[in-house]
Amino acid sequence: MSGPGSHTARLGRGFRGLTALGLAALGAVVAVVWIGCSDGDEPAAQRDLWSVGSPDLGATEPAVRDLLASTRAELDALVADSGGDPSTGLGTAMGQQGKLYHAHGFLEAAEACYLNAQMLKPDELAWPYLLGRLYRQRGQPKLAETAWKRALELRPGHLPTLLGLGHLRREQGRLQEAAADFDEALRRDDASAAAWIGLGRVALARDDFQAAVEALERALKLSPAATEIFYPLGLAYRGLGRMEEARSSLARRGTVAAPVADPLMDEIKALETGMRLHLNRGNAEFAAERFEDAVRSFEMAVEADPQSVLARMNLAAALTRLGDSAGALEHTQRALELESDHARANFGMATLLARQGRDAESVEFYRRAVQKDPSYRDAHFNFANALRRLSRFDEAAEHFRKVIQLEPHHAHSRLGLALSLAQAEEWRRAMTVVEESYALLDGHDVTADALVRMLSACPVAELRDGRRALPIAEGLFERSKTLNHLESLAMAAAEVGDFKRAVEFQSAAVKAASSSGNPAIQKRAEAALERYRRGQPSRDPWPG
Amino acid sequence: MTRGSIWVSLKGGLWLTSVLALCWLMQGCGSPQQDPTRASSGVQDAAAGSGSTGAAEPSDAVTGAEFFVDRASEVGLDAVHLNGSDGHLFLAEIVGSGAALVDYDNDGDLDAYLIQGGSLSVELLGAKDLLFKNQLAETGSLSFVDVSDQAGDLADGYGMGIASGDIDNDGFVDLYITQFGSNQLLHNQGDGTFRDITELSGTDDPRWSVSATFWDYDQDGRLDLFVGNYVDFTLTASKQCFSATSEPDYCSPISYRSLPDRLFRNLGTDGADGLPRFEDTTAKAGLLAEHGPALGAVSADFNGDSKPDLYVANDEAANLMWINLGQGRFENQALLAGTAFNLEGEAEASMGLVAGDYDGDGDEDLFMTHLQDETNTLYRNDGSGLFADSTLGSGLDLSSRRYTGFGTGWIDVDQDGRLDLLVVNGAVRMKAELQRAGDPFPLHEPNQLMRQLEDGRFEDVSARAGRVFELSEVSRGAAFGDIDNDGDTDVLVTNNSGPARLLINTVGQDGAWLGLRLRWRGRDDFGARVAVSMGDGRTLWRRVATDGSYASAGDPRLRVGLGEPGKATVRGVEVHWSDGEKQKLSPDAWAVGAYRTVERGKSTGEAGGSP
Repeated sequence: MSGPGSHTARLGRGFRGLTALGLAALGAVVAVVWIGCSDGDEPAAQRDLWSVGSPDLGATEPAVRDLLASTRAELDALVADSGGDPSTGLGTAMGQQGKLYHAHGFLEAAEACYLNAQMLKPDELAWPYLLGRLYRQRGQPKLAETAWKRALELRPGHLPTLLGLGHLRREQGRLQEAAADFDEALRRDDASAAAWIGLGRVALARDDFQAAVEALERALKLSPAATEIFYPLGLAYRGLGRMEEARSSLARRGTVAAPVADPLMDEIKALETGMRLHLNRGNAEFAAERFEDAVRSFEMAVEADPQSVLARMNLAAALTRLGDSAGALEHTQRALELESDHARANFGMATLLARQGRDAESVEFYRRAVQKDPSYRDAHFNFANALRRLSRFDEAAEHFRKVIQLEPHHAHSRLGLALSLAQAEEWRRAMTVVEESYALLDGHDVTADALVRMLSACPVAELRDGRRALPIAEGLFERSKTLNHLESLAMAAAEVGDFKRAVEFQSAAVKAASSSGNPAIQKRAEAALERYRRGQPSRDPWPG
Repeated sequence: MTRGSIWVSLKGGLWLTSVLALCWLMQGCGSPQQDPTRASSGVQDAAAGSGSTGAAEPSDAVTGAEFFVDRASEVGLDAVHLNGSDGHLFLAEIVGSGAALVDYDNDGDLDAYLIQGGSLSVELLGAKDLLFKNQLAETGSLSFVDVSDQAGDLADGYGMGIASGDIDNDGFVDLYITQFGSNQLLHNQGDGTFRDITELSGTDDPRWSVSATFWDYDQDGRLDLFVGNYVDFTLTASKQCFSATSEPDYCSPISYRSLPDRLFRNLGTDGADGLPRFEDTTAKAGLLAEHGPALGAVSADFNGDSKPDLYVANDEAANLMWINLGQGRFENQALLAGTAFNLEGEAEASMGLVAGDYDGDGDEDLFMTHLQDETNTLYRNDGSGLFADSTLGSGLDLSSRRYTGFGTGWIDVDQDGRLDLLVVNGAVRMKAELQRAGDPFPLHEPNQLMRQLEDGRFEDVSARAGRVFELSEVSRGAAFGDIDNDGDTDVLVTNNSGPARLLINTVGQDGAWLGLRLRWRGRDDFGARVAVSMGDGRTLWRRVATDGSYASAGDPRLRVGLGEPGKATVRGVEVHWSDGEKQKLSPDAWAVGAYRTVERGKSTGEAGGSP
């Protein structure tokens, strides 16, 4: 079935092609033939219904296929039994089947069902409203507008319809009509942030920046969490020449929409069935950083298909983002039971173990991950770090090198490689890595800090150059005032013999370390301070 | 193109040939060659095609013959792209490939370099690219001969895109080929052959690159290189994705991590071998600060400070506008410029893009192509580098929502002085209506021609643009240039898993035009612009570039349509060189109906004007 209009020739009499005009003229239908849903049978009926083709469910997920096939069979039976009599509940059944098709992406079949439901139950808002949504989704604005006009005749002031219509017209450049829709929405509910946003966007399209700012600021007050407001608001500020506010607002741009109660569309979403659709939804939510929603969707995906490694790993990833390590571990373990060499599952397990300080256990999982996918950058990086923590420096260096090969500008891998070489006391090779990285990454903070430390505290005397290190350290601390950079600055000052400044810097570092709450860091900082007080420079670039 | 000629075009070796042959015979390998005869089967929406903008319908529609005819086969340009798909739905198989129009042998006509894909079925295996020599200069008539085997090193990886430019200022155009895997820099040796100098020059990037552009960002006279990288997709870690109907489908880029782009600075040719070396200046330039899945790139001076900037089109992520701060440093100002997101504040799936002054106000506007259900988007420059999304009401919105756009270019099809748009389309997700019809490669869509009207709006004239616009194919690249040297712009279109098309402009030669080639330091001066002052008060601006579109490279020559022959009056022609220096051309430096070359520093132009 490729839309109600596509089977005209095959179906013959009683069928009318779908056009915008045809839709508008539905109220005048007088034909009397029912066209069967699946095979073109033509039982007698009270009305002329649209043909609902049978979507090809061959490649869909079994759960979706079973659901749609069984509900469709029930509908076909009802059609046959009812003879098209609306009093039999056929209209509602048609609409329900339309919702199911709509929820599962079969828009043409859904369209035909909605049209039939609308014909059989002409007083129900749901059918023209959902038709409008469907046409909008399918990029058919004229049909959407016709459907929504009908919805408004049935329910004047229906907010989701008014808002939908307003945006539809705005996107067509029909700004006056769009403004009227949003005004009407506000007349019904002046606390509708969504309507104020619509009005603000219309004003922006008219280059009426002042009006846009007023409407959008009002929307923001009503719905502070709606980050979708910030982008048009930023553009409106820009139009007024208020550049700082523009920058600030644009930087806060987001995708969270102002809430609009829309139970009909909520119902469509709730009908989604099967692992794949829940997975799709969860992926979109995850990408939008709506992790709680993503967890819900992925849980539904797992429930729909407990054997899906993909669903479980996505759920684990979302749970990790919410800080639920135990939950993530549970689903990762299950995923590995299902597919022991799954690269992402092995990586996930390894990372969870490493976070618990269980490096020795983690490395085997990392190894499996990179064996399965040799281009797995994050797995190589975490693997290398775990190996370094286990003092397996040669192996660590190998995996840091692999990351650098995959991503030449990966600063932390370059630092990791230098650290691995330094810890293996291969100071010259470590220095070469640091120098190359510093040049390539143009003084990136991570590589600049490494260079300062090597130049200030490398045990090999000829590699040290405190005079070169000091200005780099000063510049680094100037642009990024961290404890690390403060200690590096102290290290460089000590190396040039300026112990007064070294003590001053390191004292500040000790103070900062004390507020870190980490005794090891504080101990390390205090030890360095004592050394500088004794007039001794550091000979360990990365103490502790 | 016959089936047998696929093998003629393939240089990947016997093993590849046999694998692909098997795929071809089985017809089950995913995407057989497209059937070029089938008609368009896009979504049939009575409303969508009407270009409804709420405003009056266009009224000054041109009448007459079709605008373009496909002459690829007729003139010997037989090339079929191989995507090597085997049913796994690998993302890489639907992204390529592009093409370039370059006069590699400096004989005065544009030759065609076509990027080839390869095989992904057992392992990644590239196929050698194709080079077709144009024999127009020698024979006086347009015809191509495949010289791939005589041209030395051509790229042989799984190809994506191409950039062209003369990296050593020796007067011969060099090529950079982006690939799924390591890229390749081909040095033109001036004898009709290329040499792969990737390793020697230090310009490789082993990641998945699609777009690239040569530009002299530090204005030292040597062309530097930007490489746009896409995502960290690998064959071993390909993900499973599903359509809205839960059927297996190609993944979107957000399923993968985007990769940082790369900037290489040309250090010159100081070595004994006379070949250029490059250094990686990505970090120094500040380009590591932000990145996305890059598919398009174009260099132009967007804020009018006479320094070349760079715009990067990302797929489903914020686009980047790298503003040149001088001293080799850049800052992404896309957000404030209004070009990171569309008017709705949404990141669109940007693929192809082009910069040009469509509204004749002297600055560079941007147009980019997007996914189905998104509009192609027009960003209008206010001259200071701040842009407004002007798509609504432009006539470009509804007509583009039906398709997924890739290659595109500003071209004055009918020489009326207004820049029109050609957009080539092809989906990246399965099209339900094609799947239902049992189409084995259900991504194909027709291409579009959008003609600019007097009021600055655009009219979809695809229906009368020629029979080639009735075809439905999976188009990707579009390289623009005057292939037959008749003064108008022709187009080389590439199709994924399908034949290349050579769209010859059949109307432009009847209009008045002037052609210029602007050269400085022995090569085309990328970024230089010409301002042609017309008798009716308009000023027509055109810029020297080979970048833009999608994964493709075009003709560096400028063509300025002047309207009807005998009626147009040119009051003056002024060149704005890439460093901002201005030069008024004397009347003998240009001519209506001819190309002239202008060498900077010389007061008059020279006869000729080979591309």
